[in-house]
Amino acid sequence: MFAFILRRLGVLIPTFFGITLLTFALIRMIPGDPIEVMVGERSLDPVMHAAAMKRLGLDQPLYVQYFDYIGKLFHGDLGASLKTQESVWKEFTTLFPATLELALCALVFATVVGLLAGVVAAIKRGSIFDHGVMGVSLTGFSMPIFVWGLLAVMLFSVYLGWTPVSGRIDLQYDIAPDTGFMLIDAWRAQIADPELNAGAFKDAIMHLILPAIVLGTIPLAVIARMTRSSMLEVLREDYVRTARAKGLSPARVIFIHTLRNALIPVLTVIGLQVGTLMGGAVLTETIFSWPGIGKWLIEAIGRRDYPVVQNGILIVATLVIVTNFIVDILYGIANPRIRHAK
Amino acid sequence: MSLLQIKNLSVEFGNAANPFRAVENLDLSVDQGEIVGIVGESGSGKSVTMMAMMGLLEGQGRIVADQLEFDGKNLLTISPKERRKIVGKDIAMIFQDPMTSLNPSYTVGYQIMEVLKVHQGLRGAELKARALELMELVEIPAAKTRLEAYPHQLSGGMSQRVMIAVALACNPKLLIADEPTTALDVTIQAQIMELLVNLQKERNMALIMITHDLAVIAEVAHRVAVMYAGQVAEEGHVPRLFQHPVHPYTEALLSSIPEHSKGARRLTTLPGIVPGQYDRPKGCLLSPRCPYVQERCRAERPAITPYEHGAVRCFYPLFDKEAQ
Amino acid sequence: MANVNTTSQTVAANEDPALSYPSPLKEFWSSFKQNKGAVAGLIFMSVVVFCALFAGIISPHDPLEQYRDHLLTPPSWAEGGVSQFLLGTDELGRDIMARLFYGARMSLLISLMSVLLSLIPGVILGLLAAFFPKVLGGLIMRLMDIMMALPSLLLAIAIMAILGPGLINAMIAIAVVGLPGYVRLTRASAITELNRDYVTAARVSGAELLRLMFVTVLPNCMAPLIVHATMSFSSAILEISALGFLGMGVQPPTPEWGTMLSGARDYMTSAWWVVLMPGLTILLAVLSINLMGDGLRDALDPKMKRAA
Repeated sequence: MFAFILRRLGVLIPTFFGITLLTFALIRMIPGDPIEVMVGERSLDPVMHAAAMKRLGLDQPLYVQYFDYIGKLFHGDLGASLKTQESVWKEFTTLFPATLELALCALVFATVVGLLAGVVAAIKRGSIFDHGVMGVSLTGFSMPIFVWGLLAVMLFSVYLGWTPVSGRIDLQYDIAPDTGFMLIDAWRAQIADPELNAGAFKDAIMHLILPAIVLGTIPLAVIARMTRSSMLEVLREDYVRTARAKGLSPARVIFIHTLRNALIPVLTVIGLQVGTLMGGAVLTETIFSWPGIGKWLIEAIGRRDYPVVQNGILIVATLVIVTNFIVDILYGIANPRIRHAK
Repeated sequence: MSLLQIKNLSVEFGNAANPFRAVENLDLSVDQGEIVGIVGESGSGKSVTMMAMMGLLEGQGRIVADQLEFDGKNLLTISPKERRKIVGKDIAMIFQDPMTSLNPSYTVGYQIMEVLKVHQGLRGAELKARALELMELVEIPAAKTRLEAYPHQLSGGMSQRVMIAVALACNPKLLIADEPTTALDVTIQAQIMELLVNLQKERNMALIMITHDLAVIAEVAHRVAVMYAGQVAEEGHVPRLFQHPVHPYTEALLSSIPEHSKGARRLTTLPGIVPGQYDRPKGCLLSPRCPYVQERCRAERPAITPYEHGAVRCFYPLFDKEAQ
Repeated sequence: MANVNTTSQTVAANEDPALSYPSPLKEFWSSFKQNKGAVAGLIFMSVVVFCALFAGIISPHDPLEQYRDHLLTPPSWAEGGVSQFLLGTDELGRDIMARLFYGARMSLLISLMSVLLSLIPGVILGLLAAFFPKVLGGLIMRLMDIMMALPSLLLAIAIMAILGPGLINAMIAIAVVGLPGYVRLTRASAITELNRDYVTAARVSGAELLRLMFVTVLPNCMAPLIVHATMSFSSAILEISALGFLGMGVQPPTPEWGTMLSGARDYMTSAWWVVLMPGLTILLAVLSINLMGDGLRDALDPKMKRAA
């Protein structure tokens, strides 16, 4: 197992440095003069221009600039936003819980519903339910996330009035951002001040539910399809026949003998959804005015706030590769054949 | 009273418009302590018969029979829940490919103990001790460490031993071995066969041996049923059936084995192939290939008819040859 | 003479119909048309392509013309609709149907170009990685891993952030995002083929490298590549519209499906058609291509058949 983890780390580390190269190149590949692009002024004072170049280290040779960049990274210095002068890392940590909360809820929704739908569709293969699941999941898979978001807001928020249109919670509540997770903060605020914050927790849920469903739809479709096909494959295996020949209950045959093996490829697919979720978060957060890192990045790009763009992308990419690394390890735990492979 | 009594069993696959009969009007009975061989080419319905009897076809095949009884229980009307109390406990089965028949995600020990837990309610130390005992029973060396092994860490022969241990866990009255040695190396084949026969004698259980290897049957079985295209062509006692086959198919089958055709210059074979879903003849299923075919054979299907040494499905059984 | 005749007749009579092979194209079509979803997808996409090609002729209005008297007119069948604007008008009084027709041009053009722009280098890089697995292959694959580590939309956005918004830049961004898929797929199928005997035979008979790559190996990797290209066409449509929606793709007032939606958020309460019409169009187009892709996969690649 230890050797297995080491081998995966051997892939992870070069990939990380590759990404730093990419984000490093990002800011230097901007056509034209970077300072002018950043400041957005054509006639910049040459002295100020030179000072800005020096401040950003752009007057050094490229390799010096890169090692400087890496050195700063390892000291936790991710630069500062051009707009707020706030450190990028600090901005990220303030906003990240909002995205994490949204993405986690979306993933839980997608996994629970997707697994269930996939398993039932496989067991009842060829039934109306099976065809329904396959049809809906293909539609969900083809649905542009922003179209689905807009349609969902139009239907559930505007016409039916079931959920709020945007944001994380109503302004009337007084919530201290202790953890950054609105569900937890709202719950605590409600307990601390039951009078003022009555119904805050429920309001937080109502704000979260629609964006989570919208963000979770594509992963849901992917997980449901993968679970179904993987289940069908495993159901044909000899060892499932053995399990039946042992006189085990259908529940045991399905959950212990079939699902356990069918889950192995599904697990990988769920892991890969983290990337989809981070990309989808950009659109979902824009539609629902959700103050997370997706919206933060888009706004930074809009105002050409390059330190934020550069290092924001670096953080997100690192998150994705680390998650995939963890999924790989879990995959090894779930699958003894992988774990023992030399 | 036989342990297993099957009368007029048919199993059909496919939709109603386009049915395919994998098993047709099959009769079979097995007594306690008896070894019955079922021989036939691939696709002749050997395994399907047994799967139907155990309820393993999972609603894919339609099963019709006049009688399907095991140990006094009617398997046709039994509820799935009641059936599961018999299957895996009183009737156990081992399969052709041991490497794929064990679940790759669980240890060998888990898969043995699972049956003991479900059918006998064993727990804790008792459970573990019994599993170890079973591993030793099927002569697995270093049984204790092997309990913790995963199937991919075992050889084919070891895996089949584990399958046998699983099957014998609850002291079944009937063990069905579906080509138990086909996927194994030749040297291992004999070992596994010997183990099976010894265990059968020791426990006086009934054993149904499905195979296409006539030599194995001749060596170990008491009785044999020869299947062709979903039907029993001939049934009789060993070794008499091998010496005096009365069905043309059995005769052809035997003459295709080198040991049985000493003196002949070439091995004889039947021309043609087993009829499939779309080309089943109207008359006797062997009629297109039979060297003794008559007009009647092409027009009607013969029924299986008992005679003094067994039963045969042929209008013109080869009794004369026997007399010679 | 008579004798010859009889012989030829016998031969003709004995010819087994199962042994006369249909042409590959015919075989493909008879397999493809069994999939109803794929045929439906093909029909819808044919309509879209037709509208895009002949937008200038069939379009009732100029897509840029602003009818000041008809701001946010509902579709003709809805209350307050005018038959002049079949699918209604947007906030500037432009005909939505005309914009959808011309938008189809944009979406199809960008998607097609970006598919080509990632297919060609992707196949070449993939073949190189398969033929030179040690240094070059490792290097290429590591690079692709890095690109795969970034969520595709985020990578596209990052590239747009560097290049700036615009049509050509959007094509490039989407092509770059799609590149790793082609490289991995080509490499994987080429490696499988490289182990086959016919490649060894070609090698032994002295085929040069380029011939081995493009004439011997590549044609046998085509089936999965065609399926993947179809599927990536639909994701290209998704990505270009997402970029448009975020204001980074095609710039207004040029009509493009995603760009049409970027301002629509403000009219959700008052004018549903402004959101619904382009939204449904994108959904149906993507769905159709995915359905076609499924049908293609079943028809082209018997190995993948019924697997998914």
